[in-house]
Formats: sequence, C-alpha cells, structure tokens
Amino acid sequence: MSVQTYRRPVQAIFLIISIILLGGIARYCPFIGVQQIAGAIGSGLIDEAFDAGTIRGFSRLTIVVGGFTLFVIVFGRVWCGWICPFGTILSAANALKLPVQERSPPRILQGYSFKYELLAVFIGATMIFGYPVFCQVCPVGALYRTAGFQTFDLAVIPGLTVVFISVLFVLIYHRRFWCKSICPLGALTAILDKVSAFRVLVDEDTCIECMVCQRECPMDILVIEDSIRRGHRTVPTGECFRCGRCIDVCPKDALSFSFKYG
Amino acid sequence: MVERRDFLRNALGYGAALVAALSLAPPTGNGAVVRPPGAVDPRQFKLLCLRCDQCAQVCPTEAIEIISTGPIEEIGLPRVTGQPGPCTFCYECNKICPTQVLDLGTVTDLQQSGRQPKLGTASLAHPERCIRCDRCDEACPYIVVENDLTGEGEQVMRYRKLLEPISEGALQREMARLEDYCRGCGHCVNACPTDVLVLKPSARKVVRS
Repeated sequence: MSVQTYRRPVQAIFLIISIILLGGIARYCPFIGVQQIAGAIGSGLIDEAFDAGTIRGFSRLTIVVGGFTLFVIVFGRVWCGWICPFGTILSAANALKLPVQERSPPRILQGYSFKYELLAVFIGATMIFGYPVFCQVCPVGALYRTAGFQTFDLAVIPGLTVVFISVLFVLIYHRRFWCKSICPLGALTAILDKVSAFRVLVDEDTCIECMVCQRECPMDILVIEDSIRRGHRTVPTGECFRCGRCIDVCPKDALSFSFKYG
Repeated sequence: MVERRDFLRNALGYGAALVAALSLAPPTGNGAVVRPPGAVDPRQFKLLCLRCDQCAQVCPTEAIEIISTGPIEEIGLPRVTGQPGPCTFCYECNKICPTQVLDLGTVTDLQQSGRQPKLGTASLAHPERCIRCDRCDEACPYIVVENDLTGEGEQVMRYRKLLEPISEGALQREMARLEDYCRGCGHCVNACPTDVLVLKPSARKVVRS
C-alpha cells in the first residue's frame, strides 16, 4: 500500500469538513489565531483576545493556537501535506499532471526563504495595524467565503487572485510553490517542524542512491543528499510536508515514516 | 548561505517598506460605519472579527453587508446600511458570531434590563433630494410605538421637520431626539425612494427609554 492510498482519503475528509464549515472555518484557522495574538500584543488587548469566542468551553485562541503548536511539534508539516484544505486543492491540481514544457520557475520561487520574510512582514504589520493583515489576501478564506455566499463579494478578489495564481503555478511547474515559498502559515509550520518527531527515515543499507525520490519531491527537497550523504538518518525537517511520495517511488523501499530523530 | 544573505537584505527592504506603508497608511475607519447589534469597540472589532461572513449569511433581512471598498482594514468586516434590508433586531448574527465581537451577552443584558441596543442614527445626507413623501415616518417601527405608549401623541423621528425652515434651537432639539430614540435599524433608509437618508454611527449604545 502506498502512502498516497492513506493520504488522499485523509485529505478528502478534511476538505469535506472544511466545505461543510465554509466561512466557519475561520474559527479553527491557526494563522488567524497567531495573528490575533500578535495583534493583541501590539495593541494591548490580550485579555479581550483570549476571551473572544470559545470552543467546547475553552478559549478559542488557546485551543486553536495551542492545538496547532502541539500537533506540529509531534507531526510536523503533516499539517500542510495532509490537512490544509488549500494544500489539498493544490495537490489535486498537481495530480492532473498537465503535459507542459519543463522550464525553470521565477527566482523568488526557487528558494524557501521568501515565506519566512512574508511571515515576518505579516506578523509585524498585524502588530502595528492591529488587525489580521494576512486574512485580507488569504486564499483559503476567499475560497470558502465565495463558496458560502450567494452574492459575489468584492472583498474576496485579492484572495481569489492568490488562489488562481497558485493553482496556475502548480499546473505549469508541477511544484507546490505556495507551500514552498509563499505561505506564511507554512513558514510558521516549518519553524516548528524543525523539532518535530514524525520524520522520513532513510535506510542507508538499502538505499542505492538512485535519486528518484529527489526528482519526485514536490517541495524540491534533496532527500538523499541532505540525509544519508551528510550522515543523518532522517530527511531534514522544515520543508518536508510528509506527503510520502518519496516513500512510494523508492524502488528499494529504503524510505519510511518513523518517530526516530537523527 | 546565499539564501541567508538574501534573507537579511530582503528583511531590511521589507522593514523599510513597512515603515513607508505605516507613514502612508490611510486614516483608520474607526467608528465610521454602523455595525450590527452588540458590536464591541472598534479596535477590538477589527482585531477579533474573523471576517467569516457568517453574520451576513445568517441575516434574514440581508441587513448586514460585508464591506468591500474603503480602508483596507475595513474590508471583510460587516456593517449595517439599511440596504437591501433593515435590521429587525433578531440577533441571529450575535448567536452565530464565533468570536463574540457581535456580543450576544451585551444584547441579552440590555434586553433583561429593559433597554434596547442602538446601532446608529439615521441622518439626512442629501436633504435636497427629499420629495416629502413621508415614507420614512411610515416605515419607522419603533419610535411611533414608544410615543403612543408615553402618550406624547407625536412621532419623535420627524425628518420633515428638519427639512423645514425652523429655528436653530428647534433644529438642535430635533437632532437630539433623533439621537436619543433612533435605533439605527434602517427601515427608513430602506423605505426612502430617493436615498436621502443614511445610517451614521452614534456614541450612544442604547436608545432612551
């Protein structure tokens, strides 16, 4: 059984949950929570922010941000690869595998660092201006608000533009640029992911270094070069969102998920 | 390491851009719009509203509009304009609001103490367009009833009076009465055929009882 056989249904379940919730998804979004905490620190409304809304009797901010942090510390960017509804939509676009000519993407999308810069900018802006700035261009919010609203609402145009461009880039380059280089929540997840317990383990004895996994990785991670060739047992965390495609394509089954460090 | 150098260089650029954006930021729209019932103070509202649109979706009269133009920070927030429908104070928006920025607690407290929340005040934005049809007076659901109860026998909300040549003192009195008794529901705005009236925010949070 390939990892994708498990991953697709999990993604589908979370996508369906999110479609049922529609605009209500904002209540469970960890990034709006993080921004609200930053904004609350910036404007001194910390008590008010934690009092705003409850989930099963507990403060909404505590549950959402705390739950997210714990989840990522244990499972890393499984959040991005298995749960995030926008990730699922991009996955679906990627699965189409449109026959397009290979070409190299714009320079800013080749590296990983742009998303950390955006994270810093959005958190900084939220602290200064006192409202969740990223939400004004958020593709997920825009998608669900458009789907849930009978009349078209101009406020979703920036977000829908982001959706359109991200999907287009996935279709052209077959890579998850939104997750790799742009998504500020992805950046936050990547920072926490550095210490995550759930990792991709490479068996040095079975690996023949054919590099099929590296070609297949949608995040352009140097699966083998940055792991066993550098003396580590596991694929470096941070950018890997545990889609398991490397595990599926490995001809020698040298890769697997595990809770081992190193 | 090239990436790290880029990162630092870009970070400086973003810092500069942020400072520039801050100095050029448009004036904040704090308190400039009429919110649905039970709204918390503007600073809290813009931080804690999730922009989930659920209040607008649940509103039975479509009184809640999601702002899509104007200052960036206002975009996505709800407001009440009286168009296409007036607020009927059913508090469905308060019940659904996930962060209680439209606070159900506030409105229930008010109701229990026998007071009624006030969203804003209807005001004459374009008096020159008024055709004296009196539909605003007919549409107003609250003031008439209240005055019949108190036996004053006179409608408090009389836009017509404001349009007629009256003394400065009388004008001020009429304005003050509007401010005291108008709930800002938008029935009059909705009824007005020539868009003379608009809802304006008010410092009062409850109507005079």
